[in-house]
Amino acid sequence: MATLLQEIEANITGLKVAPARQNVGIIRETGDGVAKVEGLTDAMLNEMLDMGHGVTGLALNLEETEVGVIVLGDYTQLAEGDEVRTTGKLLQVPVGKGLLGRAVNMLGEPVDGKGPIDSRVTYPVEKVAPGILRRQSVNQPVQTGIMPIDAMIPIGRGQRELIIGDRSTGKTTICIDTIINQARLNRAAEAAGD
Amino acid sequence: MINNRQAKREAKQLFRLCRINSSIDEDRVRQVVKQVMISGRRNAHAILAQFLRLVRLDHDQHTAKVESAMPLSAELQATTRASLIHMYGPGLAFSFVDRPSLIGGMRIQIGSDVYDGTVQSELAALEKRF
Repeated sequence: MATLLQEIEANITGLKVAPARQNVGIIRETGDGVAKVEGLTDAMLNEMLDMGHGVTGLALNLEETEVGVIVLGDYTQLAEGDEVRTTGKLLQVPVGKGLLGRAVNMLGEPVDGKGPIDSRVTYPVEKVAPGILRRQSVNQPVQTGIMPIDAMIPIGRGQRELIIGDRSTGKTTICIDTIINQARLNRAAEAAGD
Repeated sequence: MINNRQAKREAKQLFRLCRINSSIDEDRVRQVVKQVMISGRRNAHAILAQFLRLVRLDHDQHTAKVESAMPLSAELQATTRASLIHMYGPGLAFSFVDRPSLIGGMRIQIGSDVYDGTVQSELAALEKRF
């Protein structure tokens, strides 16, 4: 036992932890959800930045001596002179079935008070889309729940759809109805064990 | 806004004039400041503010600020200097500062690069993880 303790002590004595290099910047000005950060020479476009106080920023405007940042959180907590650090991660959000039926903010954090989201996989928000030939063909409709649309002009899953119309003609209603219908279908699928 | 942008551009040009072999020449900096001040230009203040910012950033990039909880021995200071010069090349100025609030360890900052091995930062990281 004494030998084991000595061994551990020797290991601890020989342990060398080199501090990792961090890239930091200083907030030069902040307001209205944006901030100008001086420094951050290694920041990447669309990189998530740790702005302190639990606030995350998005590096958007990379200049020679400063970085323009969109504050994804409560910007009133930030002040000039605060330190900002790069995270090395591009903007990404959790994905997976745990996200179904949840309300999240722009960082994928839950805002519905139902606890943390059970998802270990994250996916970048900005990603180069695959070419047309590599894409799977559209073979499944998105059920909007509005019979005339689903019957006459069905929307394919994975397609983009433009809804145009005059004011107060129900553009938003179509979107909300589709979300409600998709939630209903997801609940039914979950109940069926899918 | 336009004036501000113009001041930025002009300050950058003046700053480039002050550089000799990727380091700034202090005499040229003084000369530029004097010339801008006597030029009587309307946006002289904005130009000089931007110019000052660029000079300060350049100074920070060529200065290693070494902070430690206790005063470092001459030997440790020499080792630190040698390691940093090996990493960042010659022409680096050093400033050694004692900061008891770090509790232990050392924090080195050169421009935007920070090497933080202090007990204070470890505790802060631990607090964040909980």
